[in-house]
Amino acid sequence: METVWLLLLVFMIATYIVLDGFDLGIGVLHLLLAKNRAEQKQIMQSIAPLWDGNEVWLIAAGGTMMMAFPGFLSSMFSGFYLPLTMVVWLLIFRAISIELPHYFEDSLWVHFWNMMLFVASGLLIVILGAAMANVFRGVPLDAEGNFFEPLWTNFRIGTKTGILDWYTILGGITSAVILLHHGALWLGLKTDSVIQQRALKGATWLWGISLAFTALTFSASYLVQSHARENFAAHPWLMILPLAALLALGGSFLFRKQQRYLAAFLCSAGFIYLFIFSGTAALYPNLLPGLNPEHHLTIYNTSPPNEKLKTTLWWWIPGIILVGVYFTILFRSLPRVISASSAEEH
Amino acid sequence: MLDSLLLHRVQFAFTASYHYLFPQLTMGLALLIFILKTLGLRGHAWADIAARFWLKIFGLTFLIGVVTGIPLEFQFGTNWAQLVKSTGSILGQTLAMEGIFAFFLESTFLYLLIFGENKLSKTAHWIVSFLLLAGTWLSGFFIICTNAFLQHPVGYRIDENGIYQLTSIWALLSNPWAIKQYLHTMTGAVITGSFTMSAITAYYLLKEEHLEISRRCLSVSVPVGFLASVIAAVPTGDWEAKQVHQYQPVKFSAMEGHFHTEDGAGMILIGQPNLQELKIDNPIIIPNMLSFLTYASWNAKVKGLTSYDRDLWPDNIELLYYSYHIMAGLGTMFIALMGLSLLFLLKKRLHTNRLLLWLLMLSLPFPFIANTAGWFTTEIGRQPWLIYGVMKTADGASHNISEGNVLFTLLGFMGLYLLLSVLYFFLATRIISQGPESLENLQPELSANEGA
Repeated sequence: METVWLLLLVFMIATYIVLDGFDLGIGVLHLLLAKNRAEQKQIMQSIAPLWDGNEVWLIAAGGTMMMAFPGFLSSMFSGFYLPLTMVVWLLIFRAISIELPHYFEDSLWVHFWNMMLFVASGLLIVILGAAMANVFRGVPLDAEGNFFEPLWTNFRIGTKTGILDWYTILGGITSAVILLHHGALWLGLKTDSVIQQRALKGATWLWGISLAFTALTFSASYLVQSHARENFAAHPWLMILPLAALLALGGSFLFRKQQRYLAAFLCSAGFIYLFIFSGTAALYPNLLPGLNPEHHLTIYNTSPPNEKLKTTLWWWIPGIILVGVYFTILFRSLPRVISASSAEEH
Repeated sequence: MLDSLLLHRVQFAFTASYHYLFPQLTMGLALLIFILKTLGLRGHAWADIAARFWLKIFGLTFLIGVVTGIPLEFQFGTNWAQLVKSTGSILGQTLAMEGIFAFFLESTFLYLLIFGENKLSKTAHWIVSFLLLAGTWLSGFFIICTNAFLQHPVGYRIDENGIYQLTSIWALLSNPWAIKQYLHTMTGAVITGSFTMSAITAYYLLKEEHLEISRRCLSVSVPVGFLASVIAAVPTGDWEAKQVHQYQPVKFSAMEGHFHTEDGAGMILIGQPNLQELKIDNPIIIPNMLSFLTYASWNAKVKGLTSYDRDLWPDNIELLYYSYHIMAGLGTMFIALMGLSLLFLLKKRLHTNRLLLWLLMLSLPFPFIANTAGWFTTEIGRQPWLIYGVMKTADGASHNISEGNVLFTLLGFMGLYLLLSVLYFFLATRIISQGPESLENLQPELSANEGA
C-alpha cells in the first residue's frame, strides 16, 4: 500500500510541475519574448486563467504527502525551513504579479509587475530543481529523522552538505531550462503570429540546452547517489524510465518540427513525468536518503503503518476524477488559440 | 531573547488571523452573489449588474485569500513538524480533501463566473455561481474539521509508537464539535459579507451615487445581515458556548472570567480580569444569567477556574477574556443595528435615513474584528493544549529550528503582508470608486419591477 501511495504522491507532484511548470516558464519567457504591451497581454492570457488551478496541485500534493508520509513531510519541511518559507514568499509575489497588472494602466507600474513576475518565476524554477536535487542527494538526517541544512557550505558533496552545492545547482539549472522549454512549447500551442514564432525559435535553443543538462544531471545523479546505482543494477528494466524520458524529449523536438504543437507539448509533459519517476525509481524505497544509510527515511518508516491508507483511496480516486472533469471544463472553455488581435480587446 | 515556541505560535497566529480576514469576506459574498444571480435568473436585470460589481471585490479578496492561505499549509510542516509527525495521517486527510474537493472547484468556477457570462447561458452561469459558493463553503468545512480535531479529537487511537492512527474518517468528518463550529463560523462570514455590502452601498447612498442599484443591494444585504446576526447568537452562539462548557470546561470558565465556583453564577458583561486576586475588577454582572444560559436553571452551580489545576489554565487569560467579550459585545450590536435598519427598510425609509447609513458605513471593520476575536477565543482558550487534553502545544512545534530563523520569517511575513494590505486597500478603493455599471439602459425593466 505504501508503494501505491508513493506512486500517487509522485504523480501529484509531477502533475504540479507539469502544469505550473509552463506558468513558471512563461513567467520568465514573457519578458524576453514580448516587445510591447499587446504582445505581453497575449502571452499572459495563455496562463492567467490557469495558474491558480495549477497551483492547487501543490496544495493537494502537500495534503496527500501529510496524510500518506507524515514523517517525510515533517522532516523535510522543518529541515528546509528557510528555503521553503522563501518559496512561499515567491509564490505570493508570483501570484500577485500575474493578477494585479490588470488594475494598472501606468506603464511604469506594469513594467514593475512584469519584472517581479520574471524574478519570482525565475527563482522558483531554479529552487524547484535544487530542492529535488537535495532530496535525491540526501541530507544529514539524525536518528530521529531530523536535520537542518545551512544554505551553503563549501559547495561540495560530502559530510557537510549545504542546500546549495554543485550538484543541487546543476539540478536547479536543469529544471529551469526544462521548464523554459516547456513554457515555450505551451506558447507555441496557444498563441499565434509573432509571439508563436519567437517562442518556437526559443524552444529550438532551449531544447538543445535541456538535452545537454538532462544528460549531465542523469550522469551526475548516478555518481552522487549510490542507492541509484544499486537499484538500477538490481533491476535493469528500470532503465526504461530514463530512456523513455529521453525518447519523450526527442519526441517534443520531432513534433515541433512537424508543427504538431499539441503533441510536442504533451511529449514535454511526458518527459517531465518520466524524469521525476526515474528519480523515484532510483531512490525507491527511500523518500529522503540520509548521509548515514541507517537514517534513510523510507516509505515504510515515514508512513503510519495502518490499514486506513487503503480506505482513503475510496475518496481520493473519485476526488481526482472530479478534478479531471473540472480541468476538462476549464481547458475547453479557453480559446484554442489566443490570437494577437483577440488579446487587444481585453 | 524570545523563545522559539512563542515565536512559532505568534507566527501562526499572525498569518492565520491575517489570512482569515479575506476568506470570511469571500465566503459571505459568495452567498450574496448567489442570491443576486438567483434574482437575475428570475428576470431582475439589475441583480446581474450588481453581481458583476460584487464579483470584482470578490476576485480581489479571493486572490489575497489564496496567496495568504498557502503559507498556512506550509507552516504545518515547517513550524509544527512534531504535530505533523504524530498526527499527519489524520490532519492530512481533511487538508488533502480541502485541496481536492474545494480548491479545484473554486479555481475552476471563479474563472468561469468572471469571464463566462457572455459565453454561458443564464442558467449555466447561475449554476457556476452556485458551484463557487459550494467551493468556498466546502473549503470552510474541511478546515473547520481540521481545527475540530485539535479542539475535540475523535476517530483516532494512539499506537505503541505514539503515532495517532485514524480509526474512522466518518467520525472525523462528523465530529460534533465541527458541525456546531462550522455553523457558527459560516454565520460569522455571512455577517462580514452582508455588512461589507451594506457599508459600501451606504457610502454610495450618502454620496448620492449609483442610487438605484445601491438601494436594491441594500434591500438584499440588510435582511441577510439581520438573519445572520441573529443566528450567530441564537442558536449557533448558544450551541457553541454549551459545547465549550461540555468539552473544554477550563476554557469556558476562563473566557467568561468566572474564577470561583458559585451557585447561581452571574454573567459578566464588562469588567477587567485581575489575575493577582483572581477576580473581576469593576464588573457589571447580570445575576444568575450564566447558570441559566449554561444549565437552563437560575441557581445551577457553575464551576470556576480555581477548581481546575493551574497548569491547565490558558496562558493568557486576559486576552482570552477580552476577545470573547469583544466578540459577544459586537455580535449584540450587530443585531441591534441590522434590526433597526431592517425596520426602516420595510418602511422604505432606510435609503434616506442618513444617520443609519452613516452607522452602516462606519460599521465595516467590526465584523472582521468580531470574527477575529472569536477565533482568538477558540485558539487561546485551547491552550496549553495543541490537541485538547492529549498533546501540549510545546510538544507539537518543530524543535530543530533556531529562534532567530523563526523571528526572521515572522518579520518577513509581517513586511510582506503590510505590502499586501497596502495593495488591497488601494485596489479595493479603486473598484469602489469606479462603482457598478449604470442602470440607465434598464429603465423600462426597472419601472416594471419597482417592487424589487
